[in-house]
Amino acid sequence: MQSQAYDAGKPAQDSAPNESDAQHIRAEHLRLLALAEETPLEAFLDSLDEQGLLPGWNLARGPEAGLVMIRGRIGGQGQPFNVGEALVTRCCVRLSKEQDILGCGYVLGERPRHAEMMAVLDALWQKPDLAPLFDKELDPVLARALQARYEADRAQSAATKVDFFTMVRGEDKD
Amino acid sequence: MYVAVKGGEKAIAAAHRLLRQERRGPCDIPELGLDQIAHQLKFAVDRVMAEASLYCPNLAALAIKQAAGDLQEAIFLLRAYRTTLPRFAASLPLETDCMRQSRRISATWKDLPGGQILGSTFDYTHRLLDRSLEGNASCDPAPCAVQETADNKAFACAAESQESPETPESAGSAGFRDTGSFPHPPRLPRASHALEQEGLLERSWSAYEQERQGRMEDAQTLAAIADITRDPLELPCDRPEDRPLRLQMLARADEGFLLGMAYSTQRGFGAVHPFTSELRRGLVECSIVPEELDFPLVIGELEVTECVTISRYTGTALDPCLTQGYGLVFGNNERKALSMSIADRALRAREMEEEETGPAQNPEFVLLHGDNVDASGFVQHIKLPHYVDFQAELSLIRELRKARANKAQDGAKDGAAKEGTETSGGAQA
Amino acid sequence: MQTPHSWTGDTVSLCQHCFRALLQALARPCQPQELPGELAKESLPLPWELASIALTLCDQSSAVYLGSGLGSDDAHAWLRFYTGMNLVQSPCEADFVLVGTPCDLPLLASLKQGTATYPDRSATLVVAGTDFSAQPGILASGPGIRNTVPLPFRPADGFLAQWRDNHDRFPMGVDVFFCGRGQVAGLPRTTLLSA
Repeated sequence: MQSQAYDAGKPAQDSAPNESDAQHIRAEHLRLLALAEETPLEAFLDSLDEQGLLPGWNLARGPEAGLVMIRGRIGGQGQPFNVGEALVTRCCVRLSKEQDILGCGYVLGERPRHAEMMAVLDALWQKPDLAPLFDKELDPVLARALQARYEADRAQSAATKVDFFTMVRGEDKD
Repeated sequence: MYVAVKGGEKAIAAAHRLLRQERRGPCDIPELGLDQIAHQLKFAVDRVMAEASLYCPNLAALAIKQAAGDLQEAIFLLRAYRTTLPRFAASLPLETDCMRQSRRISATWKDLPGGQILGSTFDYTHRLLDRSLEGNASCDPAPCAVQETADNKAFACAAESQESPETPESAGSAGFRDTGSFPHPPRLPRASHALEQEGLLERSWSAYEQERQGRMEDAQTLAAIADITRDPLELPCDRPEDRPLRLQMLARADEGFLLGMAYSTQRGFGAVHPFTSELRRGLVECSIVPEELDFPLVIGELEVTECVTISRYTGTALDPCLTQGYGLVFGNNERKALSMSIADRALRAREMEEEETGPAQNPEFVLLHGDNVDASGFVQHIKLPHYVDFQAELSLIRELRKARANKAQDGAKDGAAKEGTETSGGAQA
Repeated sequence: MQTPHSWTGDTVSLCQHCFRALLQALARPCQPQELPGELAKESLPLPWELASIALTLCDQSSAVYLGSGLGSDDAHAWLRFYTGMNLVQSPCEADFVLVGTPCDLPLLASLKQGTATYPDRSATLVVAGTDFSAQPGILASGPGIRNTVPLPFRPADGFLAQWRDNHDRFPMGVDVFFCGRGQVAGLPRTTLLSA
C-alpha cells in the first residue's frame, strides 16, 4: 500500500468517530478560518510560538492565486450555471516533523498570508495534542467574531425594514 | 487581408507616458488609493467585477485606477488578467437562500415572509445634487441607527427560527468537537414559494429542485455545465437546455446593453410584462471541493445581487401561468440583475412558443452583441491604421466612378448618335 | 515513511519558460528544444520533463489519460495535486495523453481527432523517455522546416504508418511532444515523415 501522501481527506487522529463526521468537523473548522480576519489567526499562531508549541512547516504548494468558477442556480434552486470566476488564494503545508499531515488553506481574494496561516492552522488542528488549545483559544474567538459580524450587519439592515400599505383612494367610492 | 504597419514606436511610447501623466493628474492633488476606490466608488468596482467576470474587489479597484475611471477599459484589463490565472476548481452552486441579506424587496408581495428590507438604495431619493459633498466632509462615525422595534426583533427571530441547514446534529453527540455552536447564516424562504405551492408558477424549475432532492448532483453533472470561457458559442442557443449558457453570457454582458434590451421588451419589442417577485442583495458563502480534499469547503463570502421576475404567460406551450426570468450578478448591481432577468425571460421565446417580435428575443442578437470587450474591440479597431484597406476602397470608388462616367458618356454618345440617326433619317426621309 | 514529492519552486516562471519551449518545438518540428531544468533535481514519481510539461499545459479543465509507464499511485497523486487535472479512464476521451515510455504508444487513430469546425479539439500526446541520441535516417518536412531535418529519435514499430494516416487527416489529427534528456521535440500534424 502506498503512503497516502496526498490524501489529506482524513485527519490524522485515530479517535475520529468516523470518516464523514471527522471530515464534516474539519470542513466546519476550515470555514471558520476562511471567514475569519487575519488578526486573530496571527495572534493564535504567535501565542503557540511563545509557548514553544509551533512546529516548523514546509510549503507543499503555493501560496498561489488562481480562479474558482462560481456557480449559481436558475431561480436560486434550479439548474446550475456559471456566473463568473472569483480570485482565490490557496496554500498547502506539511509539518516538518510529521510529513503525513497536510494542511490546506483556500480563501477568496488575493490573500497569500491568510491562506498560509490557514493551511498551518489546519495542519496543527489535525494533531490531537493541540486540539484542546484550538477548542479553547481559537475557535470560540473566531465563532464570536463571526456572530458579532452577523449581528452588526443584520442590525444595520434591520433599520431599513419596511411595511408598505395599500390604500383605497376616495374617488372610487361613489 | 491585414497588412502590417511599422514604425511609430517613439510616438506610441510618448503617448502612453502622456496617458499615465493624465491619469495621475496634477501632483498637488493627492493620489487615489485603492481602498478609496474600493469603498467609495463601490458601484464602479462591482460593475467592473461583474463584466470582467472576475470577483476580486482589490484588482477591480486597481483596474479602475489604471484606466482612469474608464470602466470598459478597466473591464478589459481585468478580463485580460483573468486569462493569466489557473483555474483551481468550480464552486458548488451558491445557496442564495442562505444569503446574509442587506437588501430584499418584493414588488408583488407586500407582506413578504421574512420581511422587506430596503437596505441602502437609490430608490426614493430625490436625485438632488448634494452640495455638502463638495468639501472634504468628515466621516460620520455614528453607525446607522437601529430602531429596535418589535418588528425588527420579529424579523431576526423569524430568520433564526429557520433551521440552519448546515447545523451538524452529529457533532455534539459524537463528543468529538463542538462545531454545532459555530454561527451559520439563516435560510430565508423565497417570495415565490406560495405561488409554487399553488401551482401558478411554471413547473420547470421546481421540478428540477424536486429531482435534485432525490439524488445528489454528482460531480459529472456539475462538470458538464456549459462554459463560454472554454467552448465557443454555438447558435441558435435557443433551447431550454441552453439557458445556463445564456445566463453565463448575460451575467458578464454589458450593463447598458442589457438595460436597453430589457427596456425594449417593456416598450413592446418582445412579450415580457415583468413583475419583480424578489430582489435580494447580500453576502453568500462559496464552497468548493478541492482536488486534495474530497469534501466541500467554504472559502469565503461574496456579495451578489439576485433577481427573480415573474411575468404572465397565456401562450400555447404551457397552461396559463407565471413564468420566471432570473438574474444573478456579482456585487451590488440591481439595475443589471433586473435587466438580466428580463432578458433571460425574453430569450426563452422559442421554448415558450412565442412569436419573435423584438431583438431581445433573439439569442444571436443578444448574446453576440452584449459583450463589451468584444464589441468595443471590434468597433474601436477601426481607429487603428487601415491605410492599405482604405487605398483599396479609394481605388474601387475611383474605378466605379470612372465606369459610371464612361457609361454616362457612352450613353450620351449613344443618345446623340441615335438622335443623329433619327435626324439624319428624317432628313433622308 | 515515504518522502513526499513536493514542489514549491516558482511555478509561474517554470511554466512560462516551458511554454516557450513547447511553442518553439511546434514551430520548429523535430528540432529538440531545451526544457527549463527546475524540476530536474527534484525527487519525482514521474519523469521530470513530463512533469514540467503537464504542469504547463494541464489544469482542472483538462481531461488527461495516463498511459503506460505512469501507473504508480504516486505519479497520479502528484499530477492531480499540482495540476488539478481530471483523469479519464479511456484515451479516446482525453485532451492530453501522457505516456511514460516511447515504445508503448496508444493508437493515434483512437485519440480525439478534433472536428472540421474545431480541429483544435484534438488530443495532444506527450511521450516521455525519448532518447535523442539516435537518428534512424527518417526525414521530416513540412511547415517550420527548411527543406528537411532528420527525425532525432527512433520511433516505435508501426509509428510511421500511423503518422502518415494522422498527417492525412489534416486539418484534424493529433500533435505529439516527445521529451527526454531535458529536451522536447514537437511533431505537429502538419509534419510529414518519410523513411
